[in-house]
Amino acid sequence: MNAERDWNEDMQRWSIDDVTADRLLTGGLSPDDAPPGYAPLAATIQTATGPADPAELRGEAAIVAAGVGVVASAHDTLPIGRRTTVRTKLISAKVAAVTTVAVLGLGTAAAALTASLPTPTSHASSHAAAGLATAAAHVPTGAGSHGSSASNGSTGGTGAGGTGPVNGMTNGNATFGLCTALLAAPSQASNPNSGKASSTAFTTLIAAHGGSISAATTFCTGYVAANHPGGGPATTGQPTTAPTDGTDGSATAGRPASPGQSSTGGEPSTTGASSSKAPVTTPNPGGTGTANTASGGSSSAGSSNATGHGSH
Amino acid sequence: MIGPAFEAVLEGARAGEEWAFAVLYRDLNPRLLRYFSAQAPTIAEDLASETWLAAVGRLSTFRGEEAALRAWLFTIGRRRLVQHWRESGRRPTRPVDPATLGNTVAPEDTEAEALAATSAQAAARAIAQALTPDQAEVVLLRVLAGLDVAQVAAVLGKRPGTVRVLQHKALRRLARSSSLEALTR
Repeated sequence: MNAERDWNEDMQRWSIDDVTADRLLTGGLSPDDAPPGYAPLAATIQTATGPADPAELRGEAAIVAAGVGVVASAHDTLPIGRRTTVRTKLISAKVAAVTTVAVLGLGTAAAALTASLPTPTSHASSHAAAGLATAAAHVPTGAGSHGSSASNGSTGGTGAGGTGPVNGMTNGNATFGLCTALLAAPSQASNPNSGKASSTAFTTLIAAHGGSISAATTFCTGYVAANHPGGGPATTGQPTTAPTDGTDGSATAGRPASPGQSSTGGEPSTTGASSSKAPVTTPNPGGTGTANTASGGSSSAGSSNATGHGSH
Repeated sequence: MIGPAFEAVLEGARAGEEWAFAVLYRDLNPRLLRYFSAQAPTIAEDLASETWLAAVGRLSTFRGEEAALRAWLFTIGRRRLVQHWRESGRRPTRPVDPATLGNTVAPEDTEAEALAATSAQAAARAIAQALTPDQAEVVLLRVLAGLDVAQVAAVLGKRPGTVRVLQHKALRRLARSSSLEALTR
């Protein structure tokens, strides 16, 4: 009982409220104002929170130098490097996105404006539509358009003057695209609604080469085969070579079409060169023209399948 | 306390201004050193230096006001202290009367040099030595770091109520301690 009484007395004697405790611990309570028994503690706390002694600042120079050095090195290396990397990634992503959208939009718009898309009544006609879209995008905006790809391999005679075999079309790439589309479209016999006869684009092609679908088909078969890299017709529609990376600046298959290039100094568009060699370089011969355009193999689908479909 | 200029000082330090680091150091290092001196006197300066080096390296990531910076710095410091205790395998567990320390430490001992502290460090050490380790941490963080109960609870990973109980027990214990009376005499 004595212990319990002593404990109670002790608690009462030394008990302080929260506010007083806070004032005491923050050094805001002077020894004179401290509750009974707490004056030594208040004095000790005030001493502990007193002004700095010079001995406590001995390391200032070293720490300041370290701090300055850390910030300087961070400015010199990491942020710049990270900013560059992030900026590069952002720009690359934006360029890819803009290019893809431009290709899709321009290709589709050009095909629509020419009203030359055959009725998409079959799988083959969708490839034909892709070919038309590519061909329309390849129509030169000025003289001198030429497929200058170093890896082109074209023998179509599309020289600097742009003398394509199709009247009114000075771009061999356009002829190739039209022919690809013509060959890819369903034959009139199998599908009277294929649109071959009524298509404005095909009309020009047909008129320039025999005046009939069969004559134009014959011409196109030879033309596509002649302009096919390696000189032989692609008979399987399957890729025969690995895609090139295009790092030399030349137009390469597997790249998104870039119609905007055709307007810069009459240089051939990337898609023009791409379509001329696409049949053998794009790893994905199937799918729709749109899908292949988006994935960077715009005209290859039409071209690759053109031979296969064109045989019927 | 830096006061209203704190924001400018912090921005200056982030920008690598010498004067800003100097202001922060002069304001915070004495109390940081006293905190370490009370709990690990032989390596107090080493721990303070390590804490600062860690802090300046991460200062760009800090967001908050002056009290938050103090809490942040002492959190880093306490982690260093706990790491030291783990590595050395020891932690002060028994309060020792400071009056007896002079008789137990040889003059040439390295610890004696560490104990040749300022009056402020001696006062902080006297407080810590009169308390249990948990109580000492609460009181030292409240007194030297200037943290409130909630901030101390966050630093120690305890509940605010627990911190408040420890604080009251510590204050009663310190009030009964004759060692503080001797120190202030």
